[in-house]
Amino acid sequence: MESPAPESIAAVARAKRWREQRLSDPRHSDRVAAILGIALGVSFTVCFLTGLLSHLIQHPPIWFSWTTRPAGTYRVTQGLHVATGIAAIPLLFAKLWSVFPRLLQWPLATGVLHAAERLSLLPLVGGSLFMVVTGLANVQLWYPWVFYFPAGHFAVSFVVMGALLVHLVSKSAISRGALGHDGRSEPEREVVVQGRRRFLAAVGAISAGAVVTTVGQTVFPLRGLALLAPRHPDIGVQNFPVNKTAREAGVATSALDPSFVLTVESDGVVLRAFTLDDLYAMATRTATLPIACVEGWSASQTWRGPRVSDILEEAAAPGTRSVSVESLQRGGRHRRSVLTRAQIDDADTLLAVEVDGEPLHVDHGFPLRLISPNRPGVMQTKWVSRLVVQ
Amino acid sequence: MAVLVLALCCGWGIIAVGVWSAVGDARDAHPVALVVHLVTFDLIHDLAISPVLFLGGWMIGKVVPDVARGPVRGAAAATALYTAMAFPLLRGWGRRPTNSSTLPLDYGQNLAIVVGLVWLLAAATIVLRGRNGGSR
Repeated sequence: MESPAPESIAAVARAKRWREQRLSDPRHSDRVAAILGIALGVSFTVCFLTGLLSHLIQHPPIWFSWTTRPAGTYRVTQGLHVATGIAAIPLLFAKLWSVFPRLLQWPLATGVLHAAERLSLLPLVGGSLFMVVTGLANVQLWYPWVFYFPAGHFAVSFVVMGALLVHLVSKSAISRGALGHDGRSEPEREVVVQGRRRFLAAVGAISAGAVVTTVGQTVFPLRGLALLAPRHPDIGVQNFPVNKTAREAGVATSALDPSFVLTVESDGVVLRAFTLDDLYAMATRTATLPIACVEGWSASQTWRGPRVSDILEEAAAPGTRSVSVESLQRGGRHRRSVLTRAQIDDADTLLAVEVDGEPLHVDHGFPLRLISPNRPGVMQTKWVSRLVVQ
Repeated sequence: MAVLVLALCCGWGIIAVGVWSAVGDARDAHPVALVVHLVTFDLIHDLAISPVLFLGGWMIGKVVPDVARGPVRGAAAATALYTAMAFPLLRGWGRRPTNSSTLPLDYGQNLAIVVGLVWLLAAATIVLRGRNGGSR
């Protein structure tokens, strides 16, 4: 067998020396890795749970039931989802930088369990980067990939959480030891403590800065600081954001058709047809509710329109179990949404004809927009033309 | 040991749930594309981003005085990160001409303000450290 070339031996020796030098720096210590790991674990877990909730609300399994009250709950959870995702970006890069010298380890694994643990770093690191990069791109409305964002983001979230569990448990002993260390027994240790704290303070400040410059797109009092937010709660037609315009939805002409009627149907039979004049006459309810987008922005408006329950009663379909609310939009994944009995019964579930004292703009759903408490914006169907009772 | 084995099994089981979700919804999730993305992000980070960060830190250490080294490294890292995060906004890649509410702000100006504040904070930190006789 040939001996390794002298250049290779020298390169390995240089890499080892570099690794030892870096690991003596407090910023690359086990304690810093543990603290950043805890911060990341918390932010990723909050992000995962709030994202899972959003998925369940939009695609409810038979055992899941979502409440209409408090009306702002989804606004809070989805705002938290995006905020913790953004906060995680500086934390993740800091953690990866801090532990990078440990990547240069030989042998790569000392046994089967160690190999399984090290192997889990591939989906953990790649998956974490995937989640924060694609999540950020999504809220910035940029989609440079072939997969459907919700499907890819949902699937990889489980990959990351599984890898995170493996990582947390396999590092728990090291982390406990590192976090339990006092570190103030000698003068030179003070320098180490100071270096570590300054590094962590800087990482925390950068993370906080990323959140502060974006979270105002949902936290209204902070909107003046939202310098890098992709949406602004005050900007758009009728002073709040639009996701899909009437033209993009292909309803710019049909939505303005003067012969528009809303039909209430059951088993293919039209129970009742309402003209816009009929609906305006029934538009006695006013409700102040937010549009809370899955992309993390939200804005509260005052809506006026007839209650869905009143419409169903007029159509002689008051006892329906649920109703499918369908749009003039012909295609698209969000052209219909389903209201449960609880949502129908909520007094603030309306088909809005007005917002903030003005007739609804076509980009906000004219002639009719569903507005119901505590639902994601994609489920507040626009350009409503049919209610199909079930 | 038993806890570690259990955690490995649970963790890899949850990973399997994610894989099953992607494969079961292949038409939307494009599982092969997802794997390519994960591996690509791993490689870009380990082979490009990390070396650049270490090189940048080393270069700052060579030219910046001791008292300013930490704040300058922090400000440089913040500048690089915020610029990278805001890059799609600066380029307007998600902006839709027919929808005035998409990326509605002047992101070039706003990023300059944010980065300016970062360096102002770094400068203030350096001044304070200099007065207190601090080190890096």
